[in-house]
Amino acid sequence: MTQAKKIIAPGLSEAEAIDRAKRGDAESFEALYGLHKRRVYSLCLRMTGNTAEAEDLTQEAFLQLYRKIATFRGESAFSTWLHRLTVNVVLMRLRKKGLPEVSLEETMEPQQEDGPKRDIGARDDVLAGSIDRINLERAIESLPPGYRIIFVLHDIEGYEHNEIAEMMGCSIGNSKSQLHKARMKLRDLLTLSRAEKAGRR
Amino acid sequence: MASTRAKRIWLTVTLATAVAFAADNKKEFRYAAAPGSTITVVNEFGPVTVRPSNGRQVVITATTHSDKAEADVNQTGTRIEARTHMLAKASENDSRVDYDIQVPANVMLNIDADGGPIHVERLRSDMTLQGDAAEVTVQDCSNARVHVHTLTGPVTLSNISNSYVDVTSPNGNVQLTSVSGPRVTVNTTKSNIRYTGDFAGGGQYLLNNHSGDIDVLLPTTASVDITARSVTGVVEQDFPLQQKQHLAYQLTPGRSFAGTSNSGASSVQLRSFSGKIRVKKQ
Amino acid sequence: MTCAEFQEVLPYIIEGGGNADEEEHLKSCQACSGLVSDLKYIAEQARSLVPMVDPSPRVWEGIQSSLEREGLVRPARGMGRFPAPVAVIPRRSATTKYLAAAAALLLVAVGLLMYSGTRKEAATQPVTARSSEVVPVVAALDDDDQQLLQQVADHAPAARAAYADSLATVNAYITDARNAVAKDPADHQARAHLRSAYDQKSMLYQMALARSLR
Repeated sequence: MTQAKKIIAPGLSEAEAIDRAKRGDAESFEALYGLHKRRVYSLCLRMTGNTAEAEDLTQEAFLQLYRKIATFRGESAFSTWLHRLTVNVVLMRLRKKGLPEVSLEETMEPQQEDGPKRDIGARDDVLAGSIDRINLERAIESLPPGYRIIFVLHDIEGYEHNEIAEMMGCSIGNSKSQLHKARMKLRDLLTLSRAEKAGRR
Repeated sequence: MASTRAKRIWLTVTLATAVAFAADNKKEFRYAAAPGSTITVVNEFGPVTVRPSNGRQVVITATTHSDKAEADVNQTGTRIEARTHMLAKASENDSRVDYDIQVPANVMLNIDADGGPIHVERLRSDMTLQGDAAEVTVQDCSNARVHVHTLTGPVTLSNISNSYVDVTSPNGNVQLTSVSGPRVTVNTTKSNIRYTGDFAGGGQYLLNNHSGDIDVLLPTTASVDITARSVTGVVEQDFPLQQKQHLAYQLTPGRSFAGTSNSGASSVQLRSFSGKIRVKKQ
Repeated sequence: MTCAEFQEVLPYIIEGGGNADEEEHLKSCQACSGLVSDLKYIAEQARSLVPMVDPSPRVWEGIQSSLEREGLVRPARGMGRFPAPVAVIPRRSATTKYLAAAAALLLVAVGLLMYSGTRKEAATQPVTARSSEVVPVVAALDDDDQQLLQQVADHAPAARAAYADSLATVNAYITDARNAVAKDPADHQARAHLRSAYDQKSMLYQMALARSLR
């Protein structure tokens, strides 16, 4: 077993719960859900920016997990397996909706640019030590979907560009440039909010 | 949250997903079926067709029409199961999976397909075919045990010989053509039963319903001992019969008749509560 | 190299580093190095974002009912290892078990009917009384029937109409047959009809059960 013996209920380790779940034990299903629901839901919420959609996707991800749990053989950590499954579920749903931004063609980037246009040469390192997580989460939520997905996958969930390119069906270059745009946009949003706060003092 | 290199493995997950995106996706599964094997199919929407295969191979071809449904097919020892799984809420069209199955002729069959249709031919096995609204057709079987249960799905059996047959369907019409065996029983409630054939084999035949009609067409060469009774409905006899010598019950004229033809080998009971029973010469 | 030129290639070099010119510009340009440190800082902060929100209880309920519907789950067995009982199976599974019991009861009723039919009883014995002892009350749509339809509606809403229709049909058969048996307890034909009617109703229950457990 690659995972440490995680105790998730009195007398029940994750490995045991997985084993029991394979055989249809209801309590084990619930135990596994309790252990992983937050991570799965947060991932869905961050990728979609929508609580109703995220709940729906969370449900779908766990159902797929339970349907396929018999095929999990412990060759990777259970949480990694579940994670990949969740990303796939979300991407499938987004693809289904046909969001043009998701295809990540350079030509289809969103046009809007709210926030102050910054001079390229201007110097303003306004961010170091000033982001609090609420602001960051809010800012991420307000990103256009195409940027948000890449940012979530790369900077939050830790996927590499080549992996993202494969998943999204775009080029590595696209992935990198979209990530850059996402970060730039976040920088704008976070500077703005900080400026607002500063202005109020 | 450090990224792990092990994420390479997700490729298979993604690729599998990619395959599922094709509009019509056909998958074939092959198994060797040891004697005593059973095949179970559970499928809510979509046709299920079963035919004999070559040798002892079981070949299951599942065709999905969207990526919302998947066919889960596997073998555990002597049990081969094909179940349709819904991956997401879907319309009927998207949920539909078509199963085309080839089996050794004597392998036991369990089919649960609510939408159907279910079609079985040329087998010699024990088969249970079930579905709410499924249209069920079974043909060209011999030495079989055929159990059919539907609610409203019509049932058509033709050219079945030397078999045990039992069909129950409250609301689905049942049609039997050249069906014979040691025991043939049909029970419906509101729907009609139609039998065309010679009730061969010295077997026990029972056609029973509540308010539907029972229509029987048989040749004068048939060797039968017929009793037709309707509690409140009418009976029409248009077939030559010899009076029976001993009767355990009263025969109400117009509501029942009984008699034998030739050597009276097969016992044929036609029973309706309020429906019409007609027996005619073929 | 100008800032504009640098910032144009920045997306592609921010991770792995650039060529000599690009690195040189970065070292010497405060604006661009400020930008790069901002962007890296954002990425760093994102990495440490910990999931903080739980989904609503509704999500688990949805999962649970799907698990039951798909037959992926077996009812929880109290094994004594979980001191706090996990309330896993909701009301619906109780209904499923109830349906199974109702179906079994029907079969028992049919069996008892057959037995009572073979005994020679005096015609004065009121069959109705005896029948109602062994047979569950069959009205137009009794509680069992309502539960069956609810169960079907929960799991396969599109099928509810067909089940309602078939239930009504079979109930009418049962009623007719019961009345006939009541009129003449010695009427074997009527008894045979009652048997067949119950058989079909029992089949209906079993099909509904199979559907909801799928």
